[in-house]
Amino acid sequence: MTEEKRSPEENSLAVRPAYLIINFKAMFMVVLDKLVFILLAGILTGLLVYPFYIYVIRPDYVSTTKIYVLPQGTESSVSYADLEVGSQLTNDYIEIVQGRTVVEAVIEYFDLDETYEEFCKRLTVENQSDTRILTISVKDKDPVAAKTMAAYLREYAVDEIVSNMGIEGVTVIEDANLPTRPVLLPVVVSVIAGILMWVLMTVFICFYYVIIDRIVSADDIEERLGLPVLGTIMLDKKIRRRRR
Amino acid sequence: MAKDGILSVKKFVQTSGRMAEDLKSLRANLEFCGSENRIIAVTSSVPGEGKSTVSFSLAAELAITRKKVLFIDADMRRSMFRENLGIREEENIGLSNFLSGKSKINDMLYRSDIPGLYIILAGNVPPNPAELLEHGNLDLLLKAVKDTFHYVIIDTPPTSGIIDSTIISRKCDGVILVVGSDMISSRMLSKVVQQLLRAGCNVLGTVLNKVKMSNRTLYGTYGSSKYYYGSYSSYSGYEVEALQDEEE
Repeated sequence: MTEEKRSPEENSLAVRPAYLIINFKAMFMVVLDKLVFILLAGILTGLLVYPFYIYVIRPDYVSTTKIYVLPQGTESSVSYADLEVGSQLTNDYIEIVQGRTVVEAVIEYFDLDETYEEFCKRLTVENQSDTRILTISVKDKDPVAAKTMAAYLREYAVDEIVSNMGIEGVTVIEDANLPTRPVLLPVVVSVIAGILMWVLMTVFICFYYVIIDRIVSADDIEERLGLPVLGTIMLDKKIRRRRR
Repeated sequence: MAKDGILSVKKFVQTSGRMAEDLKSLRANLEFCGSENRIIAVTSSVPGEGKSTVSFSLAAELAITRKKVLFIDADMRRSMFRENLGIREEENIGLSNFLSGKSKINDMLYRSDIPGLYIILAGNVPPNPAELLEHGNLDLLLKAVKDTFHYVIIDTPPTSGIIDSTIISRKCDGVILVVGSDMISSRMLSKVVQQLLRAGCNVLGTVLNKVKMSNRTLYGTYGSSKYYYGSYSSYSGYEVEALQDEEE
């Protein structure tokens, strides 16, 4: 291991070092020393992530309503052509449901302080694959608000569809539900969040001990000040002193 | 404590065990510093680093190797003997009395129950320790004892904030800094060393004291770990140089 010993003269005694050598081994050793603390701290932060999410960030409640994209007023038996038409129409329906006309009407009705783009973040309109069912979901931190917004949006959207497409009506399969359970963070996400915080804390501790430069070992003295260490004396816990 | 001019201090010195081994190494390294360096001042950066214990143990260790050693407790503000060994104020005739001209050397030179180890106590607490050291008879004292003893070990106060140790160290052949592990930052140590150097002291080196057994001290940060754990040596090649601005 080639290691240049800096002489006292050219060392920080007269001149402060202009650069810092980050020693990964030193940091690794510090981590080893503090391993117990780091593990406990990591577990603690991991446990805190969930309550933090529940009480501070507050999860959303999602209310969902579903409509059917096969126009009313067809014959009692549904033909293949009807289904074809229905499939083609789903995208049109989606466009209308999440279009400005409908959304801005909802914003105005509920007197929300949001823009179109902001509301769209809480709105999800999906077509279940291989069906002609549209799922409309609205999320809010208040479950009742979620439900009423979803219901109103659907009603307005249905009216729009009817008037735009000249059909008789749209079948509502499901009313907007009152959500009782919020959308919860997947466990994976919270675990990752906990681990990230743990890593950050570890790094912080290492930097604190290595960069804030406490003198702990003889190497610290020799490296940083270039002074010879004439002796090292281990701590003897048995000796008790009457201190001031 | 002092019976017929003999101070019983043997019980405060460890002659076996790990500390004794550490002290033997220290003594050997001190001797390697050169035979011309015989009057040695011992100081530290802040109180509590174990300077008094180390300096006294070092003196005892030197005496055990059949050298004639004088230990001077020069911490007149807070005498180590008074604190730890329980000397009463009437018995505490020492350096301060001599420096102010009230005593002679022979009055205050104690023998100890360790053959070869002689002791001068700090003396009664003076109101003006720094002046006494600068303008008093310290030079005379050191001149007088230099030829009589192989080594003179002087326990000085910590450097933090007071000038006593610098004054004394200047008059000695060399000064040793006791550093308590995990007690001070390298910035502070650097300042202390610079102060001593600027005053013209001969800084012989440091003694790292109160070292805890931990991975960092046991395996070190360079090279030495290879001897104990081969697997760690793979890290020793990593060094990243980062630019740091000069702050002041």
